Order: sequence, then structure tokens, then C-alpha cells
Amino acid sequence: MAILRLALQSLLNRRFTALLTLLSIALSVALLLGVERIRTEARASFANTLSGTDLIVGARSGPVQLMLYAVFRIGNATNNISWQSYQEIAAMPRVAWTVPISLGDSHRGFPVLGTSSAYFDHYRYGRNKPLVLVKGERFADLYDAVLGAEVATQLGYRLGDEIVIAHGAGDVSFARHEDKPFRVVGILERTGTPVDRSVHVSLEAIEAIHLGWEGGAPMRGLEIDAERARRMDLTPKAITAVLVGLDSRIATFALQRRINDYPQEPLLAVLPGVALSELWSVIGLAEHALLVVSAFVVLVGLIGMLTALLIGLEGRRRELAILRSLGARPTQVLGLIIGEALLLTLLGILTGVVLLITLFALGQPLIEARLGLQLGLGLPKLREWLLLAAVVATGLLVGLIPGWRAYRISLSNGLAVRL
Amino acid sequence: MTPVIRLHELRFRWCAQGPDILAIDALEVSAGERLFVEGPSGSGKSTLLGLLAGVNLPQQGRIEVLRQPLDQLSPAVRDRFRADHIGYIFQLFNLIPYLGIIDNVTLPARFSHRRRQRALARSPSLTAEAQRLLAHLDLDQPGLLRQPVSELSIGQQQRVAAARALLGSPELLIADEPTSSLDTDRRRAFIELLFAECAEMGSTLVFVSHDPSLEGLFDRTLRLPELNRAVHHQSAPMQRSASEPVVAPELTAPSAAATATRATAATVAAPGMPAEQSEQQPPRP
Repeated sequence: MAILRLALQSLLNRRFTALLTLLSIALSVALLLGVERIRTEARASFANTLSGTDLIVGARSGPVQLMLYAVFRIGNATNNISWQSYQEIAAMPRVAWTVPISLGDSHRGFPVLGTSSAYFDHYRYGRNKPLVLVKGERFADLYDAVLGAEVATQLGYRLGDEIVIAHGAGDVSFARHEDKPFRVVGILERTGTPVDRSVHVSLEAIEAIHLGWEGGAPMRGLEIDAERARRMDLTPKAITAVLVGLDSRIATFALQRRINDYPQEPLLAVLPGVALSELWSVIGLAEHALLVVSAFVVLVGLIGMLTALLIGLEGRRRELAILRSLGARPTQVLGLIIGEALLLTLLGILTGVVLLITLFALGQPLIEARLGLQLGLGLPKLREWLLLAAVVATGLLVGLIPGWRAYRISLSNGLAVRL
Repeated sequence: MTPVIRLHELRFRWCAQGPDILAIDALEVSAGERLFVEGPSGSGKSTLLGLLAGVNLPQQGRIEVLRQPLDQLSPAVRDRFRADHIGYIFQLFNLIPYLGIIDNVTLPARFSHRRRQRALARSPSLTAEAQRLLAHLDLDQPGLLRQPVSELSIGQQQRVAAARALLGSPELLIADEPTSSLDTDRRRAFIELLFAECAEMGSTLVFVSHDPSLEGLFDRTLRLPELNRAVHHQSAPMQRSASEPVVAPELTAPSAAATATRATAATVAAPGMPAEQSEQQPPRP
């Protein structure tokens, strides 16, 4: 204990180098923990986005791609499902409910999702939580829109505001459906999922705004105004994907096979959990690479400490001789140097954790707005404690090198000081 | 009275194949004695002090300090023994730079429970005892104690070092040329302060210096080149190579030994003198 106090006093005396060393350890620890935390939070957030859905059905592509665009609004669909096929899937035995999804348009960078009111009945996230309207109601009129929480707060919309939908998914779009503005009728409660970033309208509305746009852009002379569109047949011709809920889970595989073998159209049905784990196996490699890189950064920080301690040792031979003359055992001299390494590592970790939590607290609104990720601000969890314990153990091992040198010096030199 | 230090047929060399650095047939120092060990550099002074402090071990012979056979104790026990019973003052740079004056003085109490208890027996707290010792050594100017040790003058530093060596009243005080960097006036004052404290604590003082002008202040003078037969043995081959341009520090030993022999005092325990004879010390003042 006396030795540890001495180590602390010695560090305080060299506060400038000690502080630099401590800072490099703190930054590297913050990086390591940050990577680990974002990794786990991202996984949790992905896993929480969709629940209760047994199958996701779309045009034939890859399972991961289908799930990414249908659920997470990442990437684009390569093809659509015909309305005919959708009707037949909905009529298949064991199908309890279906939610049609039509994507492709956007409002100021936020995706517009065409769906039916089944969406509000059956969409579940987190632990089977339903969507809740904090303000207003579901869309009833053709030109009604229900906003996700993030869309409403970020763009400052209130009930009754008019919004114009742009053609295409880009942030900046040149083709806008300006002739058919929508009215905000409802705002959803925050979910921490991509729902927060979506503008919800009816399938018929998607159909209506594209009347006369068959070529991908409004054709001159063929414009159909908003009121005339109401009187036309607005049954969709195609949708992007379908979320399917079943009566019993046992039927899942049979139905999946049946949809995959659907003769009229190449379709793909995936289980969300299976697609998600497939995604992790792809991302896992990058995740691990990131974790390994940050572990190496920690190692670099600790080697910085090793350098500082080893260089410091040369000027401390006199001090070691004094301590020996006072009856300090060589093991206590070893303990002094290792104690300094331990203190530096522990203080570095503490600073790193505080730094990370502060950064997360400051960055939280931005990250949540951009990525829909909710970062935990709590104390480290078990896996993080294990990482930190590994850092402490490495710090001790690193401290052993100058410690051993000091031990050798104090044994061989004794009270003689050879400078 | 039993001697504080007793050396018998002692041989020391740094490595097994190397030459003897120290070869002392017999030496005894009695309790409370103030011994002046004089010798030029290379005569084995530092080695002798390392042996007395239990840091180094002789290859042959016996070394007893406070009736403890140091050569038979384990390294850990010797370290403990040094912490408990020996105060040590270096030639220079005695202080731990990152500790304050008081912390430097109370440092022995961190390594020895016994010295902590003995210090607390004299003063209510370690700080108070440190201040008491510093005051005795004329270091009680207000404001001084808060200064970093690096800002003290050499003389002040040596007095702080003396206070540290005296804390907890160790039985044996070893000083390795503590005055060599002080000017003549301060040298004398420092030694007198040291004497007064040693007398009060009842400590034995072994004081090493190459400055013969100090020896009159001490009870007894020991001329190491005469006592250390290793130096005499070496002198013959060394003399022959003296024409070489590179002069090893050991080379200064023979000539110094010669002058030392001329100035031999009656009190010197001559080399090879039997133990019974060396016990007949002059009565202490």
C-alpha cells in the first residue's frame, strides 16, 4: 500500500508525461469500448426493428437484400410483386394477415411507404410492441399521411401541414408530385426503428400520384389533377414487399417453400431471424476487424506507457538506490514501477469510460436522427468489463518489463549509483 | 559491551572470478562509537558500506551487525533489518525528488514498522517528529518546509537526508561522504549536528570520507587502505602497469595507502590484528 502511494506521488511529479500517457490510454480505451458498444447496440437495434412477422416476401433477390430494403429501407428493390400474386399469397391457407409495402418515393430524404391500414394493426417492433399514434389518426382520405416521430420532429411538422412527395428515393429530387400535396393527419410514437423515419400513405395514394407518370416522369398533356384521380381505379398494379403473419409458426417452412416455388412469378420468402443472422455473418467479419484494430490501438497506447516508464527509469537509478538504502526490497521496487503502470492504466480506463459516455451523450441526438441507433449511456456491461479487464491485465504485463529492469538494477547496483 | 559491528576474515569480490575488492581480517565497532573511515576512492569504502548495510554479501568470512550474522540471513530479512536498524546518508542527491521535505524525512516509517513506532514514541505524529528533527538540524525556517526538495541548497538537502536517516532512532548510522559537497565551515557544522543527534538517539556512527581534516572530530579513525589487504595485494601488479596512459581509479589506492601508513594513529586497528587485540578500544569520551 505504501508502495502504491509512492507510485502515485511519483506519477504526480511527472504529471505532464503521465497525463499524455494517460490520455493516449484513455482515447484508445474509449475507441475500443465505443466500437464494442456501437456494435452491440446496432445488433440490438436491428433485432428490435421487426417482431411478430413470420415471413418477408418480395421479388426474387437475396434474403439479406430483401430484408434490408423491406424492413430497414436500406438499398432498393430490384423488382416488384404483382398485385395478383399479393392477392394469392394473402389467400393462402395459414396466412393470418399480410401487410403490403410499396416503396420508392421520398419526402425530403425520408422514405415514403405506401401500405394499408393493416400496417398499423400488425406491425410489431421490440418485444411485440404495436405502433401507437401520439397525435391524430390513421390515414383515411386518399391524400392523408402519417409521419414517423423523427420525420415530424426533424422537419417540424404538425397535424394539418401540407407536404409534397418527391419521386425517387434521393435526398434531392427533381421530379416532385407537386400537383398532389398530402395532409399530415397523424404522428407515430418514437420506436427507435426505421418507422420513425418513414412517411406513411395508402397504397392507393402511391397509385394516384403516379397517374400519368408511367414513363417515370410526368408526360405533357396527360396530367391528371388530384380531384380527377379520386374518381379513377386506384388498385395498385404492383407492390414492393409483403410482411406475412401466420396462424401457427409450424406452417412457416411449408409456406416459405410454396412461395419460393410460386409458378407465376419469381418470388422470395425469408424468415426475418434467418436473414438477420445471415446479415451478421457478413457484417461480423468487418465488426471483428474493427474490434481487432481498436484492440491494437489500445496496445499502442500501452506501449507508449512502456516507453515512458523505460525512459523514466534511466533517470531514476538514484531514486532506486535511495529506496534500497531505506530497506525497500527489490520486489517493492518492482512493485513501485508496476504500481505506476497499474495506476496509469486504471486512470486511463476511467478517463476513457467517462470520455466515451460524454461523447455518446453529446452525439446521441445526431446518431439517433441519422442512424436510428439508440446508444446506451450506462456503465459498462459484462462483455465490456471483460474487455477492460483484458486492458488492465495487458497494462500489468507491460509494466512488468520496466519493473523487471528496475528490479535487476536495484539488485545488481545495490546502494552504488552508476549513472 | 558487545560491538555493534564485527567483521571476521571477510572477503568480497564483485564476481566469482574477479579479484578481491575487500579483504578485512578483523574489525569491531562498539555501540555509540563515532568511527571515521578514511580512504581514497577505490579503497573499498562504498563496498564496505554496502556490506554493513546488508546489500552486498561477502564470499567468505563473517559480518555481524547488532549481533545479527548478516551473511547468514536471507535477502528479505537483510532488507528488513536495514529498514529497522540502519540510517543511511549518501554523498549527494539523497532525496526523492517527488516527495516533499516532510515526506522525505518520514520515508523510513513507510518501510519499517519498528522505526515508525520509535518515531511515534518521541512525538505525537510522524510529521511532528520530522519537524522536531529538522528543527534540531536548523531547518525550521517558516516556509522552507513547503519548498520542493529540488530548490533546497546542497547543505539543506544533506541536513534533510540526515533527519531522514535519524528518524525512528536507528542503532547504526552510515554516512557515505555526506560532506564532500559542502564548504569547510558547513562541513564542520553538519558533522557537529550529526554528532549531537547521534548522541541523543544513542546511535553508532560510521562516517566515510576521503577528507583527513575531519578525523580529529571523531572518536576513532580507520584507514581503509591499511585495513583492506585486498588493496595491498593488488598494489604490486598495479604498480608495474602504472606507466600505462589509462589510469584506473584503483591506481590511486597504493599511493594513498602509503601516505595513510605514514599518518597511522594509535587508534587504528592495523590489518591482520587479532580480534582480541582490536577489542581494546580507547575509552569513549
